[in-house]
Amino acid sequence: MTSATMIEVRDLTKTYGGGLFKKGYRALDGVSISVGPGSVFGLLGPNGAGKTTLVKILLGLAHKSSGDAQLFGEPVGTAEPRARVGYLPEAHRLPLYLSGRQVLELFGQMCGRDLDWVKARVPALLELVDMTGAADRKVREYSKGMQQRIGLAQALIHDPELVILDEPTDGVDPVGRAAIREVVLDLKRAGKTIFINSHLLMEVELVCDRVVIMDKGRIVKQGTIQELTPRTGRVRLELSPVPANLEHVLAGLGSNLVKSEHGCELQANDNEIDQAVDRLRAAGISIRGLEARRMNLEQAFIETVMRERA
Amino acid sequence: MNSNVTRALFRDAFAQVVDNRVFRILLVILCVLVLPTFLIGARPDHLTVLFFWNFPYDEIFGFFGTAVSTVENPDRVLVQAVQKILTDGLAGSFGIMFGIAATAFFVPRMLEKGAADIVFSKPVSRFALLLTRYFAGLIFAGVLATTMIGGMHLGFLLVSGWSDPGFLWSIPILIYVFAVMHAVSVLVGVMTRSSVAAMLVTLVFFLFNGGLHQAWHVSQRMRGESRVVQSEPEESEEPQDGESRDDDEHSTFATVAIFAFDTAHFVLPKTTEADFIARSTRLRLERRGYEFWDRETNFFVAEPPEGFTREAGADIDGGGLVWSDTAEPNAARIVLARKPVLDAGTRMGASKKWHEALQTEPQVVDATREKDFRHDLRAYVVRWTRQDEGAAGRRHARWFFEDGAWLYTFDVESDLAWVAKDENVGRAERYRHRLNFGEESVGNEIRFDVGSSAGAVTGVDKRYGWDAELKYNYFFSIGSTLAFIVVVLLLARWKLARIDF
Repeated sequence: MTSATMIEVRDLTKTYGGGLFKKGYRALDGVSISVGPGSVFGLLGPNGAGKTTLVKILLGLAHKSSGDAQLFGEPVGTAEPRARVGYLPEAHRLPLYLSGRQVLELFGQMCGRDLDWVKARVPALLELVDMTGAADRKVREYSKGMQQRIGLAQALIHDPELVILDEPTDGVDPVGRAAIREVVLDLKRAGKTIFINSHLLMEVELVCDRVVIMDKGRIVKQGTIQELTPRTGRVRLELSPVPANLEHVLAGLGSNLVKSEHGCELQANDNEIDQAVDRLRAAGISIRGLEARRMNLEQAFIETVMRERA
Repeated sequence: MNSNVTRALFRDAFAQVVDNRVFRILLVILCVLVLPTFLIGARPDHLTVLFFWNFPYDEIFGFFGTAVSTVENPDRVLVQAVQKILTDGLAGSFGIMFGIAATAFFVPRMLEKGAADIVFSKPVSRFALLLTRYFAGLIFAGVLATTMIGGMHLGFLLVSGWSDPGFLWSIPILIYVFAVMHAVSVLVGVMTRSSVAAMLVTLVFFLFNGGLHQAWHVSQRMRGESRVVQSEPEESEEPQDGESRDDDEHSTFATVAIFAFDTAHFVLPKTTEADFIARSTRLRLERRGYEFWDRETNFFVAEPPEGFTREAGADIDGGGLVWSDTAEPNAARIVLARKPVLDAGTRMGASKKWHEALQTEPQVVDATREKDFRHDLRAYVVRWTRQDEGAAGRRHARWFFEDGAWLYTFDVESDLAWVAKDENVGRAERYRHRLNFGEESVGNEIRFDVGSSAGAVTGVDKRYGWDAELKYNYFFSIGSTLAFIVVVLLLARWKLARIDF
């Protein structure tokens, strides 16, 4: 474990409701992950996979049963490392008796920042989440989307090094969702480490560098997006012109050839693709594009989970 | 926890209180209750409304058939009655219960899913967050108590010209009582995470705890009185005041029950005694200027008899407090003395013995003994005349009465010539208050209040004090109550530290 590691978890287990005569429910079962600085880390899994439990243990909201978990090289459960973390919980409830601006001031100060420093930072954050106009209204008057945006702002108010977002786009309309995605990418560009817990796979696919898939308290797969989304074996060729006798030109190469307006798609291995390119070029056909088809994250996720359950 | 965090938490606590709808409603109600003290002034013989209209007491209360002119200091009586009703009756019971109901949600709401996640993920300890919710409750009670009691004090001071600084002690005492109940509410809130459970359990505890201590005080008084009765039984003519005798030999069950009862009293917060402390403190401030005040027993003489001067060096436990007529020191004197009941006997036994002794003396005539139960203080009075004293003889009267563990004697003696003077007869009326000593003897009265007649401390209460034995000691009372609060909050801390949100 290096001191530069933001999150380090080894063989972490968590059992709820266990006792002398009760077996309890095992929410985490030997989970190990490592998150380095400056990356966007995605945690995926179906409901009940243990994602939120993992996050809560990292933030001291729940107690581990066994294993080791550290934030910034310090054991979780202590207050100090949490000062360097911004957290947006799933289905959070902000203090209803405060205005959006007061929420930011309160949580900024609670993270040890001076009030003047916080007040100077509040306008920019309100602008970032598009809440400037409603900043002085009480939280109880906010819609769910507005609460989500102020929730995101409070997670960033103290300029944390690590931002943990649990279902950040939950309850937010598509425009707001895109805005939040932009915020995450801005944070990434600013060198912040981001840990996203979500079941909206497209969000994760678009912003995450590295992803862990969990199911039933265990990690079933982890890696980069590239690693998690393997090639399907199909190749798409963009051709000009598309010859009428394309089936004849590519006869004997690959299978499941599907012809389209701009080219074709077929199932082929690397050697067959090389031969196909050669034959097309020999036939005087220009190859404008060639793309090896991959699974999307959703397909990879479902396939992984289903395989695991089987 | 740095100062930024502390400030933020207190600001948050205050914001939560101010936003509380029940708090705002109570604040308005209290302002409405306090407002009349600014609009209506109580003066010695009339009420003043809006600084302009005057209404004599007899006109107002005469309608109800009450002769206010017979009441000494009606403005004081009125002001103190209002203070007592609003402080003891309203704030001390209903106010505390409203406070419990209005603040019961502070902790459970913080522990709700979603709210807890966001708050407890901050770099602040769980216990610090719990304490801010606890202090939010104290702010709630403090603002309301200060508004009511401080507002009333200001109103009475500005409009009625009446200031009773001791009354302001009710503010910390109310907060003190509420601090106990709110600690219980916090603990139940952490244990159950339910506002309803926190409210109901705390209300039940408030009533149970108050009832238990009241019962303990009654039991202590009964045990104390029983011991005195057993030491010297009074005659059958003595009316029984509801005393009961303890059997010397308790059954095992009774012994265990009494032990459990005492233990519960010692362990649980002594909220009932907070009332004693408030009153004692109030009295201490009030009685600093009194003619005589014994702090140990709370026995006092508010004013000296008019025209009498107290002799220096006198001691109530020695030769007694002695007052002599200022103009004719040898013509009339008053002596107030006391001895422990266990040594001197009861009022009945001692007065009887004294009367019998007088009857054997040849120079004593007209010796009589009778009950004097006309006022709050129950006494036996022995009257006699000694023919061998003074020019034409000297008239004596001695009252025997008990106050707690003490037997008091109140002697009035004067030359017969002094008694016959018109101006001496007239002096009596000035001191007519609760006791009427000497109406028939020396034509003199003394204003003579024991604790109970002042409505302050009764029975067992008089045994209480800052230097009393442990079970009646205010330091122990406050210390054990604060310890209870600390233990309850530490239990809440222990539970909170183990919660998985």
